[in-house]
Amino acid sequence: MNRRHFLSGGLRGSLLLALGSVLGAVTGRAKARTTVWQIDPWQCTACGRCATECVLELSAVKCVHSFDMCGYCQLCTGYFEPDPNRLNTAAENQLCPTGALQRSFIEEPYYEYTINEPLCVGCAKCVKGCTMFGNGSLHLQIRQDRCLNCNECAIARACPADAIHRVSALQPYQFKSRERKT
Amino acid sequence: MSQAVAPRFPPPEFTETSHVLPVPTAPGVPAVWFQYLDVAVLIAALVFVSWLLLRRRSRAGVVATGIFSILYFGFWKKGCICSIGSIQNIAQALSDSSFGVPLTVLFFGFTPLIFALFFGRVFCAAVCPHGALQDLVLLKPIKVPAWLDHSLRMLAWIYLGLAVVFAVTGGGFIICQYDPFVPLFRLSGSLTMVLLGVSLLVVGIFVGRPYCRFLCPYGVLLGLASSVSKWRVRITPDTCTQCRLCEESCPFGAIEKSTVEAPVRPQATDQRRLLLLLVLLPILIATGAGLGGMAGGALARKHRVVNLAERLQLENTGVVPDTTDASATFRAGTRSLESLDAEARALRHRYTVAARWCGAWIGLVVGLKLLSLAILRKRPDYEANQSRCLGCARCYRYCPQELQRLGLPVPAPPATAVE
Amino acid sequence: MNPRNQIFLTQSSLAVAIASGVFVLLMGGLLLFSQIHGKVAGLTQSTQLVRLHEELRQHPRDETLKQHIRQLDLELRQKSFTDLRLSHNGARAMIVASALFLASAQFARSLRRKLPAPLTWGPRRPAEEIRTSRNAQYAVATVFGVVAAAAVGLASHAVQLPPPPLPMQAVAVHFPAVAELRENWPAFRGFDGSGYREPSTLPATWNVASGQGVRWKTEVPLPGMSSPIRWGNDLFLTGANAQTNAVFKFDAATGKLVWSAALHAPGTRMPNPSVSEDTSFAAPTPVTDGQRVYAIFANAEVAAVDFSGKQIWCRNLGPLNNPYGHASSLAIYQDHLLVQLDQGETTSKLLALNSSTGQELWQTARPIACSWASPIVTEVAGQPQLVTCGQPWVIGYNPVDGTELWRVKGLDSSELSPSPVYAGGKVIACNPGGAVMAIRPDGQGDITTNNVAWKTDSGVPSVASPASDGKRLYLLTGEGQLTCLDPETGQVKWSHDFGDEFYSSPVIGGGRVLIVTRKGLAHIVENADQFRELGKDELGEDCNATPALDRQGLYLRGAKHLFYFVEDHGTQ
Repeated sequence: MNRRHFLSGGLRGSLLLALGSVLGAVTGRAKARTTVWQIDPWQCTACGRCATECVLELSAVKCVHSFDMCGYCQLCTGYFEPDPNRLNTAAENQLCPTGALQRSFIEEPYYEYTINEPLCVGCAKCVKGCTMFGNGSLHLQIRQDRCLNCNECAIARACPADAIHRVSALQPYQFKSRERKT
Repeated sequence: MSQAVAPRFPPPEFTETSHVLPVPTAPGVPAVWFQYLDVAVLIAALVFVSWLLLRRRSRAGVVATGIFSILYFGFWKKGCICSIGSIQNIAQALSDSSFGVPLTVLFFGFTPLIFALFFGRVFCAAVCPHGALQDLVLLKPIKVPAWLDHSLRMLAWIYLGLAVVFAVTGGGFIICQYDPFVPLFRLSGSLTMVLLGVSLLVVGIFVGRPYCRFLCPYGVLLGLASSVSKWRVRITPDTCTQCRLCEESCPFGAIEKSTVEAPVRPQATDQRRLLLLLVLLPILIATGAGLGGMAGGALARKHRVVNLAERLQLENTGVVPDTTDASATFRAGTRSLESLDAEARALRHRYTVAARWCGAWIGLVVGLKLLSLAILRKRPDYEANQSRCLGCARCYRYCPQELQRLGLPVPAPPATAVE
Repeated sequence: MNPRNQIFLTQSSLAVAIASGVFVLLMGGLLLFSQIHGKVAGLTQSTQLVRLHEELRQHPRDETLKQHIRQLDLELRQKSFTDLRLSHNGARAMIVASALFLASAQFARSLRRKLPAPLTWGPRRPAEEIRTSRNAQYAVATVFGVVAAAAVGLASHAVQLPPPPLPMQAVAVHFPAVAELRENWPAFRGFDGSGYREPSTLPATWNVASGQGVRWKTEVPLPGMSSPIRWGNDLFLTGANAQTNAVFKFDAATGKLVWSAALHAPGTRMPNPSVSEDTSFAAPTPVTDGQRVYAIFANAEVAAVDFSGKQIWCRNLGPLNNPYGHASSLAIYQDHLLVQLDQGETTSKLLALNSSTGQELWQTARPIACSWASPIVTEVAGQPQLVTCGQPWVIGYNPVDGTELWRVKGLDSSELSPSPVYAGGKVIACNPGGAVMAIRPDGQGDITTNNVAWKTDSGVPSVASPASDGKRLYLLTGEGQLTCLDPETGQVKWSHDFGDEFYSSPVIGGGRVLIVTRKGLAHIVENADQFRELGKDELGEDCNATPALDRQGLYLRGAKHLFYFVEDHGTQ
């Protein structure tokens, strides 16, 4: 056997060994279960970056509504601009820039507010209004059917409240509810 | 533990209609077995390309597999999870035991390396979508002068060092952040990244595989592994006849010429140079470490905690007038400034140490490169450099032995020989 | 292959290549153009729409304006979603066209491939190869050089962080006993914030011009609205101007300025925020524990100075966002220095700092809007309590760890200045323009419904804090009405209108009550169940600070001077 081949074979063996040991060091903590990115709605400060920082042009973040927390108010502070001109669905009264948040009358004095998901861009204007002056039932969540589950989430990097982290794929959502888990 | 939240407005009581509260939808996560499918496709593709390249010796097959990889790993999987980025996950997991690595990432990270140890850079040949894409756009290859080729290749080693620094210190995954081709596969991304990717492809029309040769940090590791591979790409299926027909066939400058016709004569000055470079090596490492340590304090700013602590300091001392979203959120919270500053200082120290190692690494790599350039080897045949050959199989058809093997007519040499 | 076919194929594939190439370029240009507009950001961050909404708020009935907004809103939305669709489909079209371009270009190229002609390249020259390798070495060395230069460049941009705090000094902690605290006047309105001290002497008459009853009068180097505090024979005051925050020590017997300590927090000095003239840069009163004096200023610098004038620590808690300027005084419980920072709903907090080092021990957020009242430290049922007033809650905390014990809602004034007082077993809190509440400070959580013992809306102070000796409670309104009540029941004993403006809080001692108008006119009345005025004396300058008492007399800070008034029995 040629000396070069011997050297080459020896190096190959040691590289294999090195790879194997790195693999061993890391495999102990390998997760067979996947994780996905999700927003902690209690940390979120509704800054609006979710709409613009996502690598997708139409962000994977959408507003969701925890109806059990909602007050069903006529003057919804998440739906209406502050000091609205009139309490109707005219564009000058609405906070939502795309008209994704829709208002429907249930019975006196209750109105239901639902989100038309394809229209929502995740700008958090309604979330801000709802959290500051209302019950905080509107909040942002990453929709797992749209999210690409990037190795490093671009929105997580930009989030000023550090509210986006990896969660188990078995519980991919952190919806708000009347009981806040601490 | 949970805590009841007192609402500002009481829940509604529906007396007239018996309205039922709707429940928000929760679309599910893609099934886990998709990931195992990816790993299976990866291994299958690696096996297939190894066979195509080394046994079957078919460029058409390699190109076809490359197109498949672009479609599957590129446009379908949007280029993520990829082997290049896996370096970061693994580095992070090695340094911080609280981090785990998903199995797919492990496979994507190690399998191409193991294949490289045995078959050479078959991953680069047709499995990596980035490489396959660049290979397809190559229309008019121009020869990159040797000095440029060697020096630009250093960038990949530096990129590798920096990627590990930022992955280990929690500053982020820069390979993911600055990947030029993933925005193209994804068909969306920031304007700068899309333009970078497009310009790299435009460059790639003329310069063969610029990202693979000069920037890819994973390519560095693959090159190392394939330099000791068991089986390799051989330009000729038979013995080399020194016909020189393949000399200019490689668009990536990976073919090394044989020294039979013009043997290399070691000269006194070369030996002196070699000695000089040997002495220079530890100096380079030490200089790199020193300079790296100096630069660590600036690199630390990439980490969100350090950035925030610095911003708060600037605000508290009146240097900047406003607060940012991040600093305002911090001030409204309950974490003490002391604890944030302490964490920031600890991180800054970590960055200094990591940057020192990175600097030493760069010094080492540069020193070894200079040494390897100074050592001129004897070579009996024209062969593809094991660590630089990307397995595109372009050179095969240039060899008359290959044409003979395929039963194709061998073109007649030109009538006159020009000096 | 037939040469004619070859030419045809070559030309047609070239044509396809050029056509698809042009398409790719055009599409790329179009997508680039739409990207520059920022598809989603253009919709959510439209300044024009914000401006129009503002206009609508000014003219709510303008129908054309509403139409305009609706039109713009629709246009923006349509544009945004059209852009998204365009870029989505355009990108796909580009990919297909690019693939076509590449395929045809590669095909054309393969048809025109030239044969290699190695003999035309000339023989190999080893010398040339050596030269090439040398050049490559120089180039690689240059790369190292460039990286090294970059590292050196980065070195000057290292991140600047505050230095680590000094290690905690193992100072033997001596907490003054209650008797010692009572003997001195260590905080705003005395050690427990009641404004009451016995034994003491409140002189009924003095004359600044003739010097009768004036033990001494000293000029204070820097202005401020803070009140004096006393420990032993030492008097402390704070003052500040645009450049300096300072603590002053005066000799209590002679009035001489012993030292003046200018304070420095590490780093560049935080500039003073704009404060109202009535507040000044040194409005909060300092506090002392017998070892050090602790002071806070409008630019959020908090410092500890020892009795020899040496600064022990100084740090900045800012920036503060307070429209009138920070005015809440400090309080201290053992080694916990308590800082009430009420600035607004999302940023109000209560902090405890270690008195020896200034390091934060705990902080807790407060659901309070901006306020200017000071906290008091009292003892209820053997347990220490820190009581704070802010809009809209009165909150009692455990000063050791900052946990909230109880809270009562009822302070809806947006200009909350009066501090609470603990009298007759109840916390008395004042809501300017509203009512005065007496709260039983036992219980947990929100005790508004059950623990308010009594409420009165007569004589409610607007700036001055109430004072009480436990038997009688004195309230002083901003317009000059002094009311004496029973703190147990809230029953009004008497009330007298002085018809003048008061900021300074009343003090009780020596069987008398003293109040000072903003113009510097002091009224002394008897501390009794009937109104009886005992004296009326001029200060000679404006006065907004609250006096401090000791056995012999009272210390009063005017706009320029510090005075010590004593009972004059004819000799002087």
